[in-house]
Amino acid sequence: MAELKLIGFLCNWCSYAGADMAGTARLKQPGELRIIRMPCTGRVDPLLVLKAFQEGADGVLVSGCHPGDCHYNEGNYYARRRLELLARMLPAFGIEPERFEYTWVSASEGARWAQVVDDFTTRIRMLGIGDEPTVAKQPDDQRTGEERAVNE
Amino acid sequence: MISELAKSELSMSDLAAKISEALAGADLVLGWTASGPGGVAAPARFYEQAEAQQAVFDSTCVHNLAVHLPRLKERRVGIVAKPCDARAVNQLIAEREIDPGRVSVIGVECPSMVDVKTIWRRFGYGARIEDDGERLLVNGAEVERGKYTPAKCADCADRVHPAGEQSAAVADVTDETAADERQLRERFNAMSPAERREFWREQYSRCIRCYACREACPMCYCRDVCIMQSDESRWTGGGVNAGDAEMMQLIRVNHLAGRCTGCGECERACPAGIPLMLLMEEQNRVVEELFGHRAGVDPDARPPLLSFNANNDGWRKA
Amino acid sequence: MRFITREKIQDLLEALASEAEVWAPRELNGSGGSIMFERWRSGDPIAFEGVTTLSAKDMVLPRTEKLFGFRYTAGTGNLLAEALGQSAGQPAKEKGEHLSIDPAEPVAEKVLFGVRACDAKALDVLDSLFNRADGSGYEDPGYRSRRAGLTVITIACTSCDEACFCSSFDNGPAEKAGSDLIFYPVDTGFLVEAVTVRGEKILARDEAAKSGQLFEESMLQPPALAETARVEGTADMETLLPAIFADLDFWERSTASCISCGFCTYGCPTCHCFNIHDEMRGDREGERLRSWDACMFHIYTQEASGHNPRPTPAHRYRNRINHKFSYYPENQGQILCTGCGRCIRGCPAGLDIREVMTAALAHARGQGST
Repeated sequence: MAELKLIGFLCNWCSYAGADMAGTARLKQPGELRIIRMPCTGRVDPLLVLKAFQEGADGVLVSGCHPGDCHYNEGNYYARRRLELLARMLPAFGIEPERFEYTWVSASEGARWAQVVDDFTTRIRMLGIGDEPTVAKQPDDQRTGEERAVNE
Repeated sequence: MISELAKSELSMSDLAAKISEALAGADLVLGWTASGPGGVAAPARFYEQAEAQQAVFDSTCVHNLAVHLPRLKERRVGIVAKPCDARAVNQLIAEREIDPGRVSVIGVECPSMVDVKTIWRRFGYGARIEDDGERLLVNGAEVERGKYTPAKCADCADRVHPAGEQSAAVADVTDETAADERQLRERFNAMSPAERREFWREQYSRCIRCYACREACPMCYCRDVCIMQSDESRWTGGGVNAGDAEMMQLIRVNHLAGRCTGCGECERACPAGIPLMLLMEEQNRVVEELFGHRAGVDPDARPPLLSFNANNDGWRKA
Repeated sequence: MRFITREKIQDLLEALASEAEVWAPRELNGSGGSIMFERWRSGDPIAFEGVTTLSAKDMVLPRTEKLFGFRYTAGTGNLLAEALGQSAGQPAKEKGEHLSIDPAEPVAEKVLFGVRACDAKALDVLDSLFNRADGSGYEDPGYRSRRAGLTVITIACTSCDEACFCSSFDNGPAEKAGSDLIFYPVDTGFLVEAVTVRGEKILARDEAAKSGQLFEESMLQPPALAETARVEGTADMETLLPAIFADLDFWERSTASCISCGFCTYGCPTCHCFNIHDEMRGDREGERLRSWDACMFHIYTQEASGHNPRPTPAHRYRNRINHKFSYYPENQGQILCTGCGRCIRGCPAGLDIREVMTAALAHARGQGST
């Protein structure tokens, strides 16, 4: 099957370091997750997650420091609120909520990170390739490139 | 900040008096006159006390005049406001966008609005609309009120003005009330995510990127620097196609999280009839569920997404 | 003139559909009842009454038009240099790589049925800018090819609504400019008149229209006069409007409700401002697009420094009125308005260009109350 495109937004201080640890320890984990390093989960704009889905991501994972341990003290508290709201809005936007997850993995939790990636990837594999990217590849002549099915 | 609420049988002379009073301490008052086509209300500005006599308030006053307040920051402004409009004023104050010392609100109880846009689509632009509180007449003939009551009015929880007094009885909610809108919501709620994706694709294919939704929204005061249109950060392309239009709306919905006061102006302004309130209502519901917050009820409330609870917020194990 | 029944129109359109795309107005349920031009296929309903929410401008000046695609491709054959250059991570075009352009796809032939005279006239107005045949050398290739491939079939109006004002500006409900064929409603169908050679060819070919008898013009229903509010006093408007340009107070008061959304400009069949922008996919390929722009947007004249010469809705509305009724008539000899009324119907704030114009002209003559 075509390769899944999974995007991970990881905070630099905890989760990215944890993922690094999993790597140096040679822990086995699936390779589909493509990681983007952020300074903090507080920097993860929910729109980044939605943009990723729009551009064709099959799953998006956000991971940061445990609440209380944020390198910047409170970034993940904001993230927790924003991402929970986002998770609950996904069905309204037409995105299966199981394709998104946010979690907390610390720098010393390499083994846990490998497990998180494994669980997440397995779950998305079962859901299958997601929707076609909605971002138009080329603009159409009149409205959307193909005639719209007129809503009867 | 909110001046004495009008009593349930609002008379136009009471309203004129209130506006006159407000003008003693304000540069202008935002309100309505009956100068629209077919006798409907049109937004107006009162600068002189003599002009206050022309003010009206009735069920065709559908506009949310709070949208003009950010542009009038430099002046002292009065505003005639329905409960949903007053919530918008409160939210602007909560966000420190306007100075409460420069705004005076003339709160009016709302008899529930009439869906002028739909009436004109069905009966022709400018059809005469008359509403005496009992019967709704279009071009002199009675029509069923329920058919032309917007869902946001039928479901309104804001009969109580934010400052406190209970409103008078409003239009009866019958089976016919806002039937089209309710049917759409039922249909939407029953859809699977994939069906909804398809639904939105079809809806957004009609979007022409006119930005009327943004301009009609009192909370969208970013104006010149709005990222939906910015060339400096390309969150969404400039083309007029469904994918870019979807991203545009996602930006709007996300930026209004915890801020939308549910006035419905975005949907009313949309020339393509896209049901934007479906997303706004859902988000407002989730915000209330998660944070117990409704935007614009308390001008001193801390916006939920600008604050946090260091203890477990309650909905997750960690 | 020929006669055609409403039923036979389906046959006519089917015949046309075999050679071109046919587009016709259709009422869309579930969108608040708006009427839009949609691709027509046999059996589809057509909205004969009313006027579309958006104009026919889309057909010649699409909302988004791909001018061309482009891509940077592998270069000159010096593999070592390429390898070194690429591993240094420099942008492709700096190493002698080639830029290839994919021209836009050819445009399909279209037949637009059920246009109103206000829209057809507007095509004529747009032609005066985008499609000059006067040897001035300016011809917009995209517009030209679409205009050349477009057949316009107009239905004359026998009724109007409160927002129509076509007779105020060199136009009328049965105006022929811009049309190839014009259909006049009569009791049992339509009388059909060819306006251009292309229209005549259609009539000559079509069985349904051919087989009708010649009818007398007296059978025509009188076209709708614009009984509604007209704009009064438009003589000399080209010079009157600039005379009150500096009176910003007047413009602020008369356009106070404007919330500066872009609908009036987008719905207008004669507004034609556009934006050209490149949309990249990665850093190797992309498209150059032309999309509608609107002078009512805040950022329309915003400068790179952040300064905005038209910072308020009043400034922008003033510009719009002047452009339509003063600058364009002076420069191009055409009024940039055909009185279709879309800006009035679609305005969420209830602004009426007729009221603003009437007030402006009166004010300029020293007669207004503001």
